Amino acid sequence: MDNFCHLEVHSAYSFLWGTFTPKALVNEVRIRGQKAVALTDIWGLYGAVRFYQTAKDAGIQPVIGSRICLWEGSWITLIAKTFRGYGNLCKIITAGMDNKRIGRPAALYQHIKKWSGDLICLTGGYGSRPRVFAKNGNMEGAGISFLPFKRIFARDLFVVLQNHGLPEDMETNQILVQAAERIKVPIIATNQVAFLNPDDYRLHKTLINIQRRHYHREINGLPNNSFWLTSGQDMASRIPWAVALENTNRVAELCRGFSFPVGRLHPPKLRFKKEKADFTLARTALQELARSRSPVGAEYIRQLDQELGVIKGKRLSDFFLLVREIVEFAKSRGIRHSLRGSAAGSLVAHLLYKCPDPIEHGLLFERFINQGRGDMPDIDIDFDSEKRDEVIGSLMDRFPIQTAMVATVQTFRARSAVRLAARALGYPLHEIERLTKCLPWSLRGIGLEKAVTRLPEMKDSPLRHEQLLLSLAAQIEGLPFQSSVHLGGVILAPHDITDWTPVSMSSKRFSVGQIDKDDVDCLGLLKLDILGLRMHTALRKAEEILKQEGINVDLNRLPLDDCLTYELFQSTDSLGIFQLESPGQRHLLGRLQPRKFSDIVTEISLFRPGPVKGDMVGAYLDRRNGRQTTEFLHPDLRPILEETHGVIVFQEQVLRVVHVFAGFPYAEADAFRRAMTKDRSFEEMDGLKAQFMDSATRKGHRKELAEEVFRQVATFAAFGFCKAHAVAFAHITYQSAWLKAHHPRAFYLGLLNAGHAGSYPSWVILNEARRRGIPVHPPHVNSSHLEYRVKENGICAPLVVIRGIGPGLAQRIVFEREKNGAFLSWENFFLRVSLPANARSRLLLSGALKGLPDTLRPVRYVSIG
Amino acid sequence: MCPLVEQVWIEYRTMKVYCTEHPIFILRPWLRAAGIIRAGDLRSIPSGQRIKVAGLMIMVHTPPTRSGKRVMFVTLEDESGLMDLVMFPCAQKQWAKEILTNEVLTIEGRLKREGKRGLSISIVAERVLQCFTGSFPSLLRQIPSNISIF
Repeated sequence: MDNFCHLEVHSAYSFLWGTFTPKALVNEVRIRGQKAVALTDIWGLYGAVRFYQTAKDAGIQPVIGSRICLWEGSWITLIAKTFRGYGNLCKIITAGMDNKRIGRPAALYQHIKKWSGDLICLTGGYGSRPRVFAKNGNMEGAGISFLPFKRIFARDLFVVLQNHGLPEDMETNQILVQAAERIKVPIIATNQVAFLNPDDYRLHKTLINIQRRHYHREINGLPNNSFWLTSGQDMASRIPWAVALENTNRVAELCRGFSFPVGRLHPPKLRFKKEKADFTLARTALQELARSRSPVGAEYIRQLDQELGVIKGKRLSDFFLLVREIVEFAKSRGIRHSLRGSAAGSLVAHLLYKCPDPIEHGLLFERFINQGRGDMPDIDIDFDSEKRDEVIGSLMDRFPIQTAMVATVQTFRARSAVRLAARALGYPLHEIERLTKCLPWSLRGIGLEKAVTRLPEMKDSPLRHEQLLLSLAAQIEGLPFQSSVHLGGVILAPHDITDWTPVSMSSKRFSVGQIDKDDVDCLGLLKLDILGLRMHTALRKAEEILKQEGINVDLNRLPLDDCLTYELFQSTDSLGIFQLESPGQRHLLGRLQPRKFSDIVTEISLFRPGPVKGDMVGAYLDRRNGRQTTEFLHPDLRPILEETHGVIVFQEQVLRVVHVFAGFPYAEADAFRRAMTKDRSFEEMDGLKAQFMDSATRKGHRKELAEEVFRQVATFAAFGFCKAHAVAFAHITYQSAWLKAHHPRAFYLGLLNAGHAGSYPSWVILNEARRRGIPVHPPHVNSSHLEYRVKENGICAPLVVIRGIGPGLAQRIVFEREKNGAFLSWENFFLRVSLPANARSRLLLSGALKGLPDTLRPVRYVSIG
Repeated sequence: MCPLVEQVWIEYRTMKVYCTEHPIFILRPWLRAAGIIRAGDLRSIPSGQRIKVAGLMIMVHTPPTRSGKRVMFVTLEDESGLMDLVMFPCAQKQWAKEILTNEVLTIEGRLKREGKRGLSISIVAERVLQCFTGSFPSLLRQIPSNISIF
């Protein structure tokens, strides 16, 4: 066992600096026999939660900290002794990142003083002010620069000694030791680890060169290859002060009390008092139920009573009311929205948020919440993507202290790894284009070097001969390289979000945390997914166009049995239709020939990687089309599987089979389903089978029958799709298809103006519109707008479809026309709108001035590239 | 050049969309002469027949498959509609690069129709016809002088 542990370690989460993941770090530490290791990424805690989990699993003590820069440019490392200390570190990082006065992230003295509780400070390493004094032989200065920290941290301050083989290192360390002795501060040895082995120094240099050449940052890398994860023995030879090495374990010991509160839920404290929330939820749901149906069926009353009981028991009433507030806000602003995921299986959700009726569609509340689930339930809502930020903004305004967006850490994919490594190595851009011409963005698990030799399109690729580039790219593939904001995840913390994560501001002025969705789950925090769906934007825009034409359509109240819509589905002409426009879905439409709404639900559920892999599609279609007879193994299974001809398509069916046939309560049936969904070992599978068999035989079923039912459940359980999610999506699918069938022009206009609403580019949508007899008018300065518009019963393309005419230029042309009237001639146009020469020639060539008198003789066609 | 061909050419060079006609429409007389059929004609051809089709490349998709082998799903478009092609690993060995790097593709393969009404149409791609494959301008230049394009 090594008598030393590393306390300054910068992983790949110190973006484009460290060369390893926390997992690789823990693995290496375990091999070297060190009992603890710290992760102290630069200005961040992005990797902290996963590092903590990985280290705990490996039996290594995780120590969490961060390297931060102070107001005067000196770097220190702060380490959390407890979870409270971690919260303080989060606050220091948050304040430092938000520091606008200096123009770079910097922690101020008052920040450090205010939030120093339960933190350990390491100072004196590379990049610190005391080391600069010591290097210049100024022991007095070094000692004085320790004093402010001594006042703040007292016994939790350590003076860092480092030796990287530079000529001045030994002498500098001597002076630091003397200064530390004089002010009575203990010394400690660290190595500022940025790579796991000396050979990885090349990789570090590559990452630095990416920062320099791609991001144009002025940055210096580490001076040599000594900043690696050394052994205690190696450190002892570098730092000949035994106490400095021993103190690393002392610090680790001081941090033994640190732990993340994983394994339990941390619901947010919202405005509603618990009793009041339960009562308000029940009252609102009942009022909505009474309003929506008369008479109210007994099954609705029973279901509502059961759901309210579970929600109350799990203390989720205020959460449901919060979501209701969000939905009501969206409704008040006319923002289209819909629920997705298992939440759509809840009657309470149906009543509060107006999602599909779960009883009508045979959905199961227990798939969403049951007594057996320990995690926070997800209520994911899709909003019109152009207006989603309004919703997020309102939520953040309502809970400014408790909320932050979830972070997403982007990793190098194969193609970006090659391109950026090539940039780092100094390849010219045209050469990089040539090298990566056929290389896919992502390789789905095959290594880069293998892919280059195996993929047929790469057989003549010049990349095969670039061994150094390939080897570097293969090493950086998968490493994190920058953080960004999750599409719509908003964290709601119990009190202050900065107790859990540092927060910074996004370009949209939303606060963003440093934990990703997996970390949020792991910490038991509540995450609301406020997602943007471009199809909602497209449908809203189509509705607006119809309204302008005097046609009032409420897509949410369409009858679900429209013949024209089903004819459209059956024709496979589904380009632009939500969820059904991909080649595979079009193909399946032709084979399935939907005749009713539930067919659309099945279609959406079947065309997923799981069902395709499990060959459920073939089995379902054979039975549906009468090529195979549908047999039920037991009469109890008929009502559950009849709608899908005996094939288990939905997760809800798995739950029902396990519940009805084997007699598991729903909570256990859901746990059983989740256990089957995960990758299982043979032992786990045998355990599940024994459980199922035992329960089924106790219910009086024959052993052979129980075995066969288990076999079918086991085959399909991993592939089944959540029916509640499919039903919620199928409504949007139906709405888009209805629009296409009845009002194709408005449908195409909506799609074209919603940005990338589907898989196909605008030109394909326009081509289809033209094929369906809708005239498409080219852009013109006197009739085009910033979006696609109606013109003479057809579609008029906007000016931005002309290459070289961006939204800014187009806006200038349209504003001028709207302000001062139509353009009268070429000369009149060019006098009124000042444009770059290139844009002028593009406009002329594209015919955007066609029909205007050519009064500008000298300007003629200009050839373009 | 006739006005229609000129207009399509202008749109191809200057715009991100085609307002007047599909570029393949311009190449059609040449393609027809070579026995290359349109997407719109596929519904009248029996399953199993060998056919040649040409179109602008829209997308290539390589989803995970049951066997673990890579299957390329290619979507092309001509003036009459979309065409879905499937290319299996044996054909990919020779033609994957052509599929991934060309704007206009001409492919020979076998038609496959499924479903009760035979509306589920795909083409199992066997080979790429290189003389009709490339960028739109390069193909436009190759049209023999004896073929009139409008």
